[in-house]
Formats: sequence, structure tokens, C-alpha cells
Amino acid sequence: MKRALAIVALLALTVLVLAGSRTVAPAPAQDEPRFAAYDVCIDSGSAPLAAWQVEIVASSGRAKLVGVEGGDAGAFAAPPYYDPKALMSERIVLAAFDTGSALPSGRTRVARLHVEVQGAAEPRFEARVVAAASRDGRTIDVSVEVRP
Amino acid sequence: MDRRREDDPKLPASLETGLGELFRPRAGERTELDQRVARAAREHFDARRRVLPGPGNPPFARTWALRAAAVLVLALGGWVLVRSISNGLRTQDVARADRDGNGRVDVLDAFQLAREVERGVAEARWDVDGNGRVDREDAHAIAVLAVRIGS
Amino acid sequence: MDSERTDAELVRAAAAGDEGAFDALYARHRDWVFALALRSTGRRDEALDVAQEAFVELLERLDSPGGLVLTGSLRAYLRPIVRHRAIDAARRAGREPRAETALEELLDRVAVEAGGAADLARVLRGLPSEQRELVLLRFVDGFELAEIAETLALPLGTVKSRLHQALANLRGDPRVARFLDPEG
Repeated sequence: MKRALAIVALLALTVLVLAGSRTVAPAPAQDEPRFAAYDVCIDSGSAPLAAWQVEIVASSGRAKLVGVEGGDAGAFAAPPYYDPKALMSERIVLAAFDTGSALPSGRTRVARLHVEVQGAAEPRFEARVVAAASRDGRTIDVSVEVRP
Repeated sequence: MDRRREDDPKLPASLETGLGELFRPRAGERTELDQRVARAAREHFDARRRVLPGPGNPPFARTWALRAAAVLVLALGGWVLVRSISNGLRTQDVARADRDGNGRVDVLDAFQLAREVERGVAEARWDVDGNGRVDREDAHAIAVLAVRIGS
Repeated sequence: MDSERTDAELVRAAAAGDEGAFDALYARHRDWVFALALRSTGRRDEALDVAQEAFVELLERLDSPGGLVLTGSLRAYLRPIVRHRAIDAARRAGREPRAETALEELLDRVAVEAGGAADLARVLRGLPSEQRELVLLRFVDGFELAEIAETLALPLGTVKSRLHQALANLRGDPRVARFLDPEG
């Protein structure tokens, strides 16, 4: 009985060690990460977009955020505000505002996410608008989309 | 026509060198960067060596030492995060930054303050970062709060 | 020889505790990291800080849970780190974190100096920003065309056509005549 228990314990430890050691058992090629970029686009219709905040969550696939860049040239060309702690995680809140007069309307790329993708499956992102406002600070209805 | 050359155009070497020179670190800068990074690398790898057993030790011990180190780092990181102050703001400042009183701090609070600062009508009570003046930095501080994960 | 090892191999070795592998990575990427930091901040002292922070962050990520495994160049990985650190630096200094503005201010400063560098700075300043970025990525940072396409999330064909246009603009500018080889 004791011997059987010892064997089981040894097997369990071996599995743990093999699973935890990158040097002993390197990941197979298809599991190695690759990098992809996803555009965050906001459509504010005819209203000028002056401030926006969105929350984005990787809803499927194995993806980690590794970087955030700004959007199209103009009001939101600079990278938006985000919490650096969100990097290497699957959820991020982005926000930006501009008090200038050259504001975009319609569909605008406001940011670009750089993502480390693990595995063959393409990640999907769910985005929701937290807040958006036009030049005068009035709240406006906008839609957001995250796409490769 | 060389197809490869057409696809991947080259610049004359002197022009490429000239462009590179515009942004290359100067000798003094290169030396300073080398020293700074070498110091950081030395500290990093020394710390690893203190935590990890030597290369002659079995991978089993090495793996568990790594795991223990990871747990320690995570625990310490978690503690630091809990104790951390975002951009010099305390947690109770979050309520103070809720400009429009809608129960959460979001970019609209920052935007509203930025507009008031630009018009010169921002009130002293919106000195969110407590530096004695109300300026664009306060709007910046609110925006940082708005995107904070877990806030 | 470290010079023969790929970035991915060196990262793997550094993550396993090989300090020499990290040194090799640093030597390989130092100059372009500084160049990108300088373009992103527009200031040499800040560029030094940003480049240092980028390499320190790389060190930290080597030890992150799950480790850091690269399949290709480290450049695509380091670039956003440098950009983010530059943004942090700009915000700390109370400036708008716009890399494009920082670069243009830097070029403006160089443009008033004497010598050929000033001419080049003026020519670069005059290029459309999209073309300028491609020229810098390709000929200053040494990115391959495919890497540029991946980094900027542009189709490879778009990268090629924009780069062709940029080079045509460069070659056609009389201020760069002194840099052109006879066969160029």
C-alpha cells in the first residue's frame, strides 16, 4: 500500500515538474506566441468626438495586451490613457480627451492594441463604451469596435 | 530590372549613414547607457543567483525555487498594488475626482476640468493632485484614475 | 557565438539566467532603442532614461510568470515598450505625449545647426509623417519590410508603395544631393 502511494506521489510530482519547467519541456511551436495589432474604432456619427472611454476585454482566444498606440493623426493620435497594469492581462480601460477644435466625427480609429496571441485561435475582443462627449462636454451616443 | 531591389529599395550608403547619425547616441550617452543597463543587469542576475540554486543542482529544486520566487514576487506585488497610490492620488481622492457626481470617475470628469482650466474658470477645490494649483495636471490625474484597473 | 544566436534564443537563455545572453541582446538593440526613444521624446536626456527603462523592463519581463518567449525579432516587442516609456516621460514633464510632435521639435532643433545634418533634418521634417516613419523604421532602425508591416499593421504592399514614394521624395530633394552616391 505504502509503495503504491509512493509511486502515485512520485508520478504526480513528475507531472508537476514537467508542467512547470520551461527548460525541461519547451512549448510546442504552435503554442509559441505571435503578435497582432487590433484597431479600436469609435463611430460618433455626425457629432465631433472630444472625449471617450471604453473598456475592452479579450473574450476568447489566448491574448495578452502588450502595448497601446494612438489612433489616426489628429486629436487622438497620441496614445490614450490606460493603466500599465493592464498590460499582460486580458482587460483594459482606455480613455482620451482633446480640448482642441479639430475633432473627428464619424468612424475614427482612436487607438491600436498590440496583442501577444498564444495558440492558433484568433482572439476576440468585447468592447463597451463607458463614456463619450462632444466638444461642449455633452454626452453623446457612440459605438465602438475592435478589429484586426 | 532586379525584382528584389524594386521590392526592397535601398538608400545610398552615405544617406543612410547620415540619417542614422541624426538619432544615434553620442559617445558619452552610449557610455552612460551602457553603465546604467549593466548595473541593472548585474543587480537582476545577482538577485536571481541568490534565489536560485547553482547550475549543478537538480531541476526539481530549481523549479520549486522559481515557483517560490514567483509566489513571493506576486505576493509582494499584490501588497504594493494594494498600498500603491496612483499618480500621487489616494483612494479617497477618487470620490473627489467625480466631477459630475454620477458615482464614478470617468474621462468626462477629466475633460470637464480640462475645459474649465483652459477657460480659466476652474475652482480651487479641483486641485486633485494637491499641489496647490488647479491646472491640466489635475485633469491628467483624473484621467489616470478613470482608467485604473480595479478602480 | 552570441552574434549568431537569434533574439528568441538569446531571450530564452537570458530567462534561464545567462547574463551574457542579455548583454548580447542589449548590444544588438541599444542604438535603435535609443534612436526610437530620442524620436519619441525629442530630448536626449529623456531618451537616455527611456532607453534604460526599456531594457530594465525587458529584464523584469524575462522573469514574469510564464516567462517571455519570442518567435522572432525583439524589435517588435521592444518598440511599444519604448513608446510607452516615452509617453510616461512626457506626461511626467507635463507635456502632451505626441511622438510626432516630439520628433518634429527635435528635427527643428537640428535644422538650425550647421552642416549636412541640418539639411537632412529639414528634408525629413518636410516628408509626410507616414512616409517619414517608414523611412526611419527601415533605414535608421533597420526593420525589415515585413516587420514594418507587422509593426504598423499595414499590408506589405502599402509599406512598399509608401516607402517608394518616400524615397522618391528624398532623392528628388536637392538638399540631399551631397549624400547621393554617383550610382545612387
